[in-house]
Amino acid sequence: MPYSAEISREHPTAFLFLLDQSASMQDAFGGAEQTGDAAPSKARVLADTVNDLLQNLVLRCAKEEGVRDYFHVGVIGYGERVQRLIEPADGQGAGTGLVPISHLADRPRRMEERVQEVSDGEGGTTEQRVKRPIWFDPQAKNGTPMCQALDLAAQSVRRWIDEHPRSFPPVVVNVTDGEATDGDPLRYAQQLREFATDDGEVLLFNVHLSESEATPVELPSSSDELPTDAEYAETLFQMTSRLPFSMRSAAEQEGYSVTLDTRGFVFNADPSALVTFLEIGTRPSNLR
Amino acid sequence: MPPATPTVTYRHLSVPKHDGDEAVSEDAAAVRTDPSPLRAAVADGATESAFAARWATVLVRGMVDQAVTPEALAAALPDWQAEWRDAVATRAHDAPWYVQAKAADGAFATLLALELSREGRWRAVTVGDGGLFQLRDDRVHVAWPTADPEAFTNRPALLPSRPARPVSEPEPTTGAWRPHDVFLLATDAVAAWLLRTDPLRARDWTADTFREAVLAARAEGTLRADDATVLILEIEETSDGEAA
Repeated sequence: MPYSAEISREHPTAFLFLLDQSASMQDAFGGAEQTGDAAPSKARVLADTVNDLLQNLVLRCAKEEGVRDYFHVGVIGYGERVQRLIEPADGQGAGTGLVPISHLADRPRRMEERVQEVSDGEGGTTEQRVKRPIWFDPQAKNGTPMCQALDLAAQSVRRWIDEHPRSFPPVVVNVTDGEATDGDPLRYAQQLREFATDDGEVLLFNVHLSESEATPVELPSSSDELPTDAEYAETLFQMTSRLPFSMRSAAEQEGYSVTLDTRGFVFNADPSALVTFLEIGTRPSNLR
Repeated sequence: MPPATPTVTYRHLSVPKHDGDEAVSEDAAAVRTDPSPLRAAVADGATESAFAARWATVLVRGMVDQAVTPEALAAALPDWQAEWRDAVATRAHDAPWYVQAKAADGAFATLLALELSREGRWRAVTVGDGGLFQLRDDRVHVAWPTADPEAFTNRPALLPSRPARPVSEPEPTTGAWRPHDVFLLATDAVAAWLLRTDPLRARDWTADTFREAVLAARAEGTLRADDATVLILEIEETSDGEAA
């Protein structure tokens, strides 16, 4: 059965995040202004969300003696240029841009400290200082070179698969707020999804961040569920992989109803839909 | 039957998940044979938590000194949590951010405990997916809390080492024992494997044959790659005893 490889240090999997850094990411999420929020930009929300996600991925692999390399992780930003936002340490992940998670854990760009309320176990709360690692900051400039980003992603996963042919295949999550400005991304997406390990083809998921107040379309099984006035919604849908079994289970646990055709796609996502989807899309199977 | 003290021999067999130099099991087991009643416990520290082996050890050592009831378990839990907190605090203090964060989250473990009374009764309590078997003659007399090997999920009920975390409700059961019964307390991977194959095979296991069977079953895919632990208790005979 595909997409069932156990994830171990010997057979890790990879997560590669493609983040839209185009000028429109400076805007707030759709609907935010109308509600009178001093709304942070989409770029800010995305950077915070992905920093939090990377932190959670590290913590899923952390034990008292250190971080176990169950995952290799990469982040590619696309806007003013197409660039890898996480630089591998010497000799680690060189060529693939996918860094063993222990190296990510030990090399945040900086640590921030914040105070959070935690339960005191007696019905009250108490303040606790927690350290929060930051790997990258928001950027928003120029166009949306999504095709180039998908092409760089394809190069990354191809080399990574050569080194890990039996692993659960890489999961690529593309987060964007608009249309590609450098060509037809469907062709590049198809190319990316043709690479495969023994356990299955590369998974490509897409999250489209909202520009309007319309309700998010989360995990559609058919393009009939998409708004008819946005052609690129259909393109993004066609670019997207179906969810494998483990992620369908994760989606069901989050309260979604899923079918065998459910795609790893969210259209018009608000911040909460983005967070929920990233949680589902990074649950490949259980760690061993 | 007059009150009688069970004379029990036991074997604690364990093969860590990674059978190599880095081998560290996050399962723990403890048996208290004296004074009566006899008590035994196994615990399985959750892989995704840190300091889980320590928590599993605190739980089994604590449980064999308590009456095996949900009420006694719940009453003792705060002391066990404090013991774990103190043990971890010094180790986490100067550790990297992720070790501090994991220590703050706490560890999680399943727990299964058994108590044999002098009156020929036994009782057990469980949180999570450990498996208790009572073997009599050539059959499985009891398989608890489930006899279905497909009932094992990757999301069992757990006991948290931090008080702020929700506690799953312990489940109790009771039964009767007699001489020559064999009890098995197994952590989840072994319990599911025994249900899928034949629990009676465990009666003859030694440390060596268990290890061979575990490695062979992992290789053929019938046993999940997880810490594999079983306590085997054989009631050899009974001796008349004074009330404990």
